[in-house]
Amino acid sequence: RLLIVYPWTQRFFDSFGNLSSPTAIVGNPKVRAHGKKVLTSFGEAVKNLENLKATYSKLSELHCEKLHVDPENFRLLGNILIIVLAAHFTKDFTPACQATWQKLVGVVAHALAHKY
Amino acid sequence: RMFSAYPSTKTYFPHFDLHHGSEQVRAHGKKVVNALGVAVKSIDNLSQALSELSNLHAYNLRVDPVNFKLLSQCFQVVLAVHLGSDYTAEVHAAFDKFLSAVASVLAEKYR
Repeated sequence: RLLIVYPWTQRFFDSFGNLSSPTAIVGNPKVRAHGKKVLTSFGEAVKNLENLKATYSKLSELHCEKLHVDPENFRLLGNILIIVLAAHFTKDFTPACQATWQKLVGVVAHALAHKY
Repeated sequence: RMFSAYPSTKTYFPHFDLHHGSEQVRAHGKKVVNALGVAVKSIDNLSQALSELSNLHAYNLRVDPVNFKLLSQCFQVVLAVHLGSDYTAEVHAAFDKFLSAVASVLAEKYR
């Protein structure tokens, strides 16, 4: 969804093959695999809320020094994740729920940007 | 929803009752949504259609443009809550683009 809503984020994924349309992106196995990797890592964040900077220390260095990802992309992804959650949970995604998630994606983005 | 998720936005409403269920907030929200309705009808000429609002935001309200993104996020969350799986990637992209264009117009006379 990130790659569709903010197409410029495709700049990091030249090796992923066909990203030429929403259908291509959604059906792309490399995209799916990568999404799984990212969300699994997000799960780690949730398990280590008291210690995020340390948990994401290596990932932060990776994104800065090897992947060269502008931290603004972490914010974009966090917001996309929240909208997907909202569509999934609908009325259960209350304002309080959203507020909590916005806070979480904020601290995750911050931790990922920490080593820059 | 925006005041809950982004408490800093409350700083623009010191004169409002911001408690849950506030009539002031409800009325203001209605005003904003109506303006978006106007924008949708003039989607090919936002600058002209929103000219008054543009002036208001530039010279009176002077809301920092970063807040337009915060409100946009909240709008889209509510749309997603209502539309569920109908809030497809394409619909999402279109809305995000639209709200971003509106925000640009609102900020275009800032300097």
